[in-house]
Amino acid sequence: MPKIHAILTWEYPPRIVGQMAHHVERLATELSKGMVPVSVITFHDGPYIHEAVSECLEVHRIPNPVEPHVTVVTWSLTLNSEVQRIVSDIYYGKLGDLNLLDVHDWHFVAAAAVLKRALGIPFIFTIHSLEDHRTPDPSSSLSSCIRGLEWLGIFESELVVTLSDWMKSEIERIHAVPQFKVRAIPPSSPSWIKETLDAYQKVSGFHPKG
Amino acid sequence: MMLIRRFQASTLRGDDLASLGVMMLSWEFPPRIIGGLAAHVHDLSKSLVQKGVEVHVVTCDFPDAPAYEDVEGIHVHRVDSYRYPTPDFATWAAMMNVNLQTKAAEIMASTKKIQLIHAHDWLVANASVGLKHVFRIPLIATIHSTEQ
Repeated sequence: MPKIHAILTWEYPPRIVGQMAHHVERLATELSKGMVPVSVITFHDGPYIHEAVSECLEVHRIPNPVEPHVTVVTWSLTLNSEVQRIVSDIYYGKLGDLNLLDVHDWHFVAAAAVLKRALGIPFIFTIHSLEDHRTPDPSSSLSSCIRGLEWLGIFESELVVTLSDWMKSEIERIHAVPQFKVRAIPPSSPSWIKETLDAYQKVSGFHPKG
Repeated sequence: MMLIRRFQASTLRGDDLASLGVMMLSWEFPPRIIGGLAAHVHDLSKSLVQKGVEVHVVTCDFPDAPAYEDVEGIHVHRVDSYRYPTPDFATWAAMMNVNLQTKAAEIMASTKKIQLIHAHDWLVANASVGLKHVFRIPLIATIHSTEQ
């Protein structure tokens, strides 16, 4: 049985909001080239789509079952139930063992926290950016909600991954996270995929072949 | 559907319900009383317990009410209802559902006895739908009132 890694991301090409879409696509592609089975679960503004990209890479594009929305938080959290549905489909299906979730930014950490408690699937929280850096008003109630979801992901995840040492120090500063919980794995590093797999192995006990 | 039929048939006969567990989700439960929903969930849960059903109610916290208590055989779990400022009521409900769902998942995974989720009104819909998918058990939604 192959061990499947699921990557949760609110953007994935052709949906591109920032730089995260390209980062996750490159990560998923490189992992799958190394024969690590990857399921990407992402948002799609339309009917559900399943794409079998290659032998080891599939993409689930899911719509939000609830519309319209008053804030990005209600949009995100109603979408989380669909994320839980797809991850559970993989878990209960016959595709293989679901080994790990890699959650990119705050949008799907609520789904991951419940999947961890319910099904025992550990998760890594990869942080690309923080609300305090994005928002013009960190003291607003909406930013407070998003910061709370960031904290949930940091607290519930087994490991927090950042793309730079600077972001690692910012997370430690803003969220008062102990250093051992955060690991910087820059995608510009030649050992990016190797270090990512090391992180996956640390969290899930997964040992890639070859 | 099988579980729902079994639930209904067993309730009517009043026979072996000792193996049935229900996860009740409600944003209000005494002493937190907003409208009639709190009393309804309390009375329903109490009646189910009297018939041998294991009932867990996950609900919002309330000043001086304990995080867990046994209320006439009902397992009542009160979670942090998210008391920080939110831009509007729907966003508050979404944040409250995160805490509600996380606690319910923890209980359901540990007891392994819950066979049915019973959600009361839209305020707990998001948590309930996600739990249904994750645990692969039926969900009943009781609608007490609608927005329109």
